[in-house]
Amino acid sequence: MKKILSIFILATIICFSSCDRIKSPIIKKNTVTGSSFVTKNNFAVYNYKKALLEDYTGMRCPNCPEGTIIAENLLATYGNSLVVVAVHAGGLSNPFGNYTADYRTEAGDKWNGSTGYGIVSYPTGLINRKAYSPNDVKLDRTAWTSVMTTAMADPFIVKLKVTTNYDTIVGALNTDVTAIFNTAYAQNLNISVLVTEDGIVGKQDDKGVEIEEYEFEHMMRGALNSPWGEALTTSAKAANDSVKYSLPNFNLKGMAYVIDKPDPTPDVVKPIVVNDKKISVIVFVYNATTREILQVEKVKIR
Amino acid sequence: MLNSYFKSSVTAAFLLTFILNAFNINAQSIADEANSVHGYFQIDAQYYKPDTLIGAPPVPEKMLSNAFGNINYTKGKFSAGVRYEAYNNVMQGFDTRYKGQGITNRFARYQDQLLDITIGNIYEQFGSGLIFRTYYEPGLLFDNSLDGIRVISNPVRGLTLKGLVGKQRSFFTVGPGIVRGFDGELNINEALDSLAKNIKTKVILGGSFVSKNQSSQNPDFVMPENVGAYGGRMNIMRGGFNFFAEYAQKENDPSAANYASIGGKNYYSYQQGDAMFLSTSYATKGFSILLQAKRIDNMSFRSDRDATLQNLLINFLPATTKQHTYLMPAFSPYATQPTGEVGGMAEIQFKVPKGSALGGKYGMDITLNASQANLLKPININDSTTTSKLYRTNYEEAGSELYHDFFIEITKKFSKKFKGTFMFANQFNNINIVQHNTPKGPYKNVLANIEVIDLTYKYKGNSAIRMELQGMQRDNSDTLNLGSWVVGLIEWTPNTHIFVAAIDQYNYGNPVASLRLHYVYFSAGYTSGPHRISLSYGKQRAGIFCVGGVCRVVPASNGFAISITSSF
Repeated sequence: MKKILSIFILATIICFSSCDRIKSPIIKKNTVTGSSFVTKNNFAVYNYKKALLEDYTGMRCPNCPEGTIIAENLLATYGNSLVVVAVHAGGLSNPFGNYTADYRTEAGDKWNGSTGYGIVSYPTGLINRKAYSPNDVKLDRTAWTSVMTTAMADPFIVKLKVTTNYDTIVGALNTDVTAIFNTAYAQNLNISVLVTEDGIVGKQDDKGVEIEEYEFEHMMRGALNSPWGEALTTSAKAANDSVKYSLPNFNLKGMAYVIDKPDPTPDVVKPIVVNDKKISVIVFVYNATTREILQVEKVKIR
Repeated sequence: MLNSYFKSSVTAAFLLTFILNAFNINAQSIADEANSVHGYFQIDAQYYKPDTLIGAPPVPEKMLSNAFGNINYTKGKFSAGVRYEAYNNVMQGFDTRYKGQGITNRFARYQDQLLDITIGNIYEQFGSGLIFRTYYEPGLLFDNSLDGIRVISNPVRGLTLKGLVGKQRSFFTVGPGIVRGFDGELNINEALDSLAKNIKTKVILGGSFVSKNQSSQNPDFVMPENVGAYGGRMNIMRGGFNFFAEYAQKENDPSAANYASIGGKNYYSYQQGDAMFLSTSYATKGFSILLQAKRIDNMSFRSDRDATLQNLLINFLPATTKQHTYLMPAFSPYATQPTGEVGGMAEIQFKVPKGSALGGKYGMDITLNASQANLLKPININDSTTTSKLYRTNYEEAGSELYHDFFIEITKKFSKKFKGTFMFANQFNNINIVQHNTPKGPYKNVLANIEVIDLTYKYKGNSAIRMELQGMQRDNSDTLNLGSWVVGLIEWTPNTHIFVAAIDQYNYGNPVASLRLHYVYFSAGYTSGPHRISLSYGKQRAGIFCVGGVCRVVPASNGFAISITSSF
């Protein structure tokens, strides 16, 4: 009995204890330099508060099309005040059987996983990555509409002026952001830059029915400055202070989804091929501690 | 997180109270050993006066205080305890993140022959602590306890297994990283039982594995979210001979300790760390010898990769230098350098026999001690764009000297009433690295000769007068290190309850004539049973206070202080 118990303790502890050996510590930046750019910006619509709805979804998720409909209805209601990003992640996004496409991204995996929000049922929505009482930060689709009403009353702390310069030949994408503080803010902020793509046609489960040519909108295709973005500011800011952020030379035509494999198995690299005519850049700024999103903007790059 | 920690602490305190009531225990009483309540209280407070000459800053609150109290309850195989701490506000020289008050430690433990389980704040050590040690040192306000669960089991005679998991205390909350650890120790003599009962040589073997987990959002580096450390140890004893050896290795652990910003670019080192500690001693009547050696490379192991100073350390690197109690030898103590050092200590103690020419009627004790610590000699590797190890070291090479301390101490009883201790020490300290963690600081290396005379005259059974005279000669042109000092102390103990003392530290060698100051300090104390109260008034110089190689900076102060301790 004693031996069995001790072996059990030993096994349990060893399972919990582990370590990661990093072979290539430096994150390789996916960059390319452009010369002839199409310039777009959000200057006409940046001067009001916006909300971000992240729809965690999957092509094999039977209830997800219903979530998509709710998101589209909210877009119809709130217009430019709402930005929707469809994040394909989790077990129901994994290619399986007839569902061969892979819409997953490294950032989506991180957000969906245990170091992110630990999402296990789909569709799940996050609105501004904030828990609006009495709800949790993770929202069932039935709560999205009511929570959006509350979210729209959030204070308008920071404006984001976003400019994109895109070279259609080589795929170089430059993103420049100026964050202008509407009110004083003392906490650290991070900035995330993503790209979403509209009009992707593929197979989708809809309550057990396979839809062959389902049109996916607002699909997250990648995080340009790491899954959790970068630090925007680490010092207190007064009203009217501004902070500039640039993300130059991102190679939109060189994106890939990389699946980590333990040694000695090589990592799986799946190229992400996008139609740049349907790509938008999403920029959002969030509290580095609480992860609450303070403002989000969307700019179609061409 | 702060709220949740407080909630859990308050809940624990409530539960403990509930348990105590359930067992019908009056917390003021002490029952038999199987059913008892014990406590310890310590209150320190100081009224501060600014003093520009000695560099004592103005303190807006005027008075600051540190206080804590432990209450532990034991009933048979069950024990539980809480510690309350209050900092209103924390005294000068301690981390100001200790602010406020609350229950900072609570635990419950049940142990029988099969299992020993503890939940709550856990203090534990694997081997000498190279990869895991949690402890509380109120003098440093150091507490890295693991808030979690520990299980200890002895499945067979001689074998002890320990497993634990939790998060470490960080001021009034816990750190972000999860710590998991396992340790196994085999006492071969006990395990072999009857076969080994006539073998005089005793052997104990041990091995540990500790892993920390912390998520990462770094956009430039792939950070290891799980960092493991592992080690093995051996202890051999025979008669007065004792040999202990431990070796530990840490996997790639990029952190604030091995991070550098050079030319506008940021670099982390992914080099593995390792540590070796050897200690051997031999003792016989009137003679003992101790030899210790230590080598540390990149062994700052913390449950938050961004933590600095003494915060969230998982491991403890034993000091191989002498911890002095006299003021002048302790003026510039050595602080262990977790990023890299090699060193050791040798100590011989012997007693000159009674009746010999030197020993006289009462004999004489002589201690010879030599300790030394050097930097490692890193060899740069140009791999900042690939594997990012950045450097390597060789065991056969050492870098420049960080510290040495050679001293001889003689204790001699001249008569039934009169005894004395005499010490001479020669110390070297690379102040920039040892005390300020920068190789390019403004301080010069310090080389000092130190003498101590400590005389005690016992004029009645429990009544004595003690006098100390100390001198330290240093470079008197060094404005930052303040030059030479002399110290005089007189202490009167009229009975076992009372003491009165006066001390004067005179910085006669300060290169600035106006700063050749006397730091005069008076103290008095009263002890009665488990209670002790002491009062003091005067000037204290700025300095460094260390316990076991872990140090804190003490700023200069001037004022009135009170200290009360009590136990039951």
